[in-house]
Amino acid sequence: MKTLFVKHRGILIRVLFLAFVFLFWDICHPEYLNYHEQNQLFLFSSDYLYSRIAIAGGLADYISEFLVQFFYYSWLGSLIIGLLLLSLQHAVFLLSDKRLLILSFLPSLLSIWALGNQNVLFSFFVALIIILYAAYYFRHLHILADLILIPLLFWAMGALVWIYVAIRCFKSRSRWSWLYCLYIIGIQLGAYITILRQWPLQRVHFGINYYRDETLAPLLLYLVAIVAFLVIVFSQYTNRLNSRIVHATSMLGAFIILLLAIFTGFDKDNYELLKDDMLVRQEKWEEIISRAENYQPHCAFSSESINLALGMTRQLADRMFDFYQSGTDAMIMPPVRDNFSNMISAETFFRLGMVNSALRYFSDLQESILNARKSGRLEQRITECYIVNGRYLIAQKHIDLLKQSLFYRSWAQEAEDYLNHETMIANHPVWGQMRKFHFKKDYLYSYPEIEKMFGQLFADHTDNKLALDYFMGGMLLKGDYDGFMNYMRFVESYGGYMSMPMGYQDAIRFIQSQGMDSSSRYGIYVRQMMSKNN
Amino acid sequence: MKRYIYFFFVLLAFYGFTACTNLPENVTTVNRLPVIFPDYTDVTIPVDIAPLNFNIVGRTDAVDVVLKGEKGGEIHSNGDYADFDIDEWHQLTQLNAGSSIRVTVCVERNGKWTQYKDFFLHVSPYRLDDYGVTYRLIPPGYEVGGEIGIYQRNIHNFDETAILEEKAVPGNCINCHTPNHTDPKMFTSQMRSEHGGTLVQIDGVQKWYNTKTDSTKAAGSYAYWHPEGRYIAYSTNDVRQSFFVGRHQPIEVFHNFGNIILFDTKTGELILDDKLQTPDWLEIFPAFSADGKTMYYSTSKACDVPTEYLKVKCSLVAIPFNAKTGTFGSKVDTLLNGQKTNSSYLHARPSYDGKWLMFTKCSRSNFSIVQPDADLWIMNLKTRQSWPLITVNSRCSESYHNWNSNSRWFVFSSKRGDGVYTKLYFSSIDDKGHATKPFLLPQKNPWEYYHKLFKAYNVPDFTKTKVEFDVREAQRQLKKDRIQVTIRK
Repeated sequence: MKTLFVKHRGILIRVLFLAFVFLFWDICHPEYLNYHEQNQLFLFSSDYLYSRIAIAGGLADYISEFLVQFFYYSWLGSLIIGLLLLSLQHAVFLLSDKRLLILSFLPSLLSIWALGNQNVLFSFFVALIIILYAAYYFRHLHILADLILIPLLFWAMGALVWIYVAIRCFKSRSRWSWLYCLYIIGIQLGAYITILRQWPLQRVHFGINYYRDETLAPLLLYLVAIVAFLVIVFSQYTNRLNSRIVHATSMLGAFIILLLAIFTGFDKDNYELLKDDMLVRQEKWEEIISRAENYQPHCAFSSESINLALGMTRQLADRMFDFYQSGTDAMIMPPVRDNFSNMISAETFFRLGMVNSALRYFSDLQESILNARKSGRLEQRITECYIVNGRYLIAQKHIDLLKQSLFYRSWAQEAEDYLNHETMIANHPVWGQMRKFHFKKDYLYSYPEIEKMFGQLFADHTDNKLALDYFMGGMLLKGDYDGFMNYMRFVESYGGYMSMPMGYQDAIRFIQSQGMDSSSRYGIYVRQMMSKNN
Repeated sequence: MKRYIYFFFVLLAFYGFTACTNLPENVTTVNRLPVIFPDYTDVTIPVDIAPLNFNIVGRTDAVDVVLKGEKGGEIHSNGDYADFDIDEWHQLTQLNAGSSIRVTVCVERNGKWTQYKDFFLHVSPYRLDDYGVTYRLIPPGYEVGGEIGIYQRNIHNFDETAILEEKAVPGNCINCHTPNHTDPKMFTSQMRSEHGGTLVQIDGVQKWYNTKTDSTKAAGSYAYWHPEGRYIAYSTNDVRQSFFVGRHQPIEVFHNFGNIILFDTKTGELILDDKLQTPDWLEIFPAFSADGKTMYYSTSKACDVPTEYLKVKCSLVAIPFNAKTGTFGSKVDTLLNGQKTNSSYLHARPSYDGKWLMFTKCSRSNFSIVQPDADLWIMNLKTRQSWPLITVNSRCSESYHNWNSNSRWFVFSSKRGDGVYTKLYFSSIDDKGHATKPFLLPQKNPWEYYHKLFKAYNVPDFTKTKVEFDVREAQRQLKKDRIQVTIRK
């Protein structure tokens, strides 16, 4: 048995690692996969390919985006991440001493840590893996062949070509190795001066598409590549060291990195918000509520999520103040210029029937994706808004885009059938209702009067119960007691409640006692806001 | 054996030839025009413009197009869409200057060929020899600009090059590129951000200014060069957006304030004039006359926007200017009164030959591009008579027009088509001020290009020669402090 274990130790450890990575993302962080998937839209078109390979590192980006599209299914995404990290280990393993199995896992473990930053792109890992394999499989290549291979690798995989150069220099141990470095610097500068004229120098040198942000990628990401190289270097000297000590140190190092990755790499509140967003997308309202009952980050995004979940399950009037409310932005946030913060606001507008406002928020969210990618999820919503608004020409444009994708194609084809068919749209469960809930009069949106807009939305269509709940909730958040008391008659007449909702009873008691009811949940919110303002 | 090999290759060549071309046969003729994109039927084009390739709307198996010049010459295209050889096309337009080209279109659908009624492309006698156009490409989002950039396009072929893209200056909003009467040796542009500034480039030398001072409310934005090249008039504005909640018009853009400042590129000074800095009125969109002795601009009474957005009505006015002293005259002359006519007149653009004044007219607003009823009008500067350019206007917004260097052609942006993505159109003016039917900026495969483009063309202008701009220098300069302008006492 022991012999069998020793014989297949490598396979067993790899299988265990793969299983760990798979379970870690599939069970603990599927929201991470959702976030990545919704910040890109891979298209099966030649234009898309050309647009990617037109810049240095573009092929890695293309492969990465091809893989990330499968994150649409979290199990598939988890498996892909697992296989990528395993490939990284394998590539390092091939280039290092075969006895140092555990040591070869260090870059992969460090990658888990680096991936905790949700804006790190998989193109980095794709590039690193391909570069390492290239260093291994082309290890006997003549130095002159490198003259062709290095620029090719630079253009296809980006700045990580430096790792290839470093490995070649190290392995060749020639006193002319520095020429490699000079050569790659020359290539990068040449590209910077000629083809990559619009890119800042530091991005040409350190990688254009390894990070979603316009700034440089975090240091931890580059540490993955450096550690991979150091492991390869270190393995050449292990003969001189006691193998037990090496193994023990590797094990300890791997364990520490794994702990750090899990406990410091994935910010709890940040990932809670990502999960809220994913659950809103999946319309798992009860799960949002049950999760918030256990833990809720104190921010507007979280308040919005719980309010939407409560609203969609008609519990908002009862339970709104059982949860943390951030203030007047707890239902809809003012515009924020990033690719995430306004996601719940946009979804709320969409469900309320405020189509133009939803369209605006969805459009701005998409334009805020810092590496200028389209988003399948947002494109889908934008298309829906155009269909509801009867803008079929423009809807067709977006549909044709989605038809080039893998996972949005069938939806797009189905949506296409609705174009110019008013009766079909009227009978659509979502779009029909949204059309019905349109404002009867057009006027300018005003964020400071958001609750009044909810009121108008409800007044135009008294069967829009969500608008009624948001109207009343909005007044409570704002502390508009007179308005709230005045419009209670709407709740009685149109709310559809068997009895007065508990939340409203609590708020009325608090208002009527002039803030003296210390047990009031609403009172806690009011005091919290007062102390915040003071 | 050799004979067989030879025969095999001949057969292969024949097969290759027949596989690539699908010539019309058993053609049925119909008495209607083909539905093509872009609608190039009966448009007027300049000699040497890029080929007006077009697509047939709807599913087709093949398209066969023959172009026959009235004065001679013939070219042929056969394939998925009308795609003309660029050199042959140029020769044909040269040969037919001042005349017309007959276009015969045959379309194959389900193996059957249909020949449509011929239409004409009219080749103007007026030349358009400028290099091309400059424009900004911007996603038509709402408050987030996304990946924007300023580009130039050679209008005689399909080459487009970036002048400055957002990725070169991350986090900056790049504004309009304004040359001096189409001459790119002098141009100005603005960059809005924490590290933004006003760029003035003269003969390749970039200078980045901070045009915001204690005496002005904001940095310069909409710009226009004095023809002599020393002065640039900017309007300083606070542009805001509001959004409609209803189904139709999505957005209203307005300015909280608007003044006009004059920048002296020689001394780095701002010249302020009380008549252009009024507290109760907004002054916007300055433009100098061809002789430089008059400055046109729009002015509207300050309203409580966005509440009173319906009341914003701009008048078109003119003020004398003395370039020697850098001073404005005392009398502001109203050319078109917005309040009285219940309209708004914007974007005055005098032709460089001094004959015409083109402007945008809409029912309200001082930002016409978002107004669906915005149309182009023209005024005869001698008679001061004005009329709409019926042939170029549509039900969507037309705006941001500019003249080419000989003032026979103009470019403008229009939202016609899908109503969202602004595109560029070209038209020419005859001696009586009548415009020809405009044509869309040609593309190699127009349908594919425009259908896949998720950006709007914005603020177009002609450029006489190719714009030379050192992106690296701009990056370096942006890291430094701006040159602070001073106020001329």
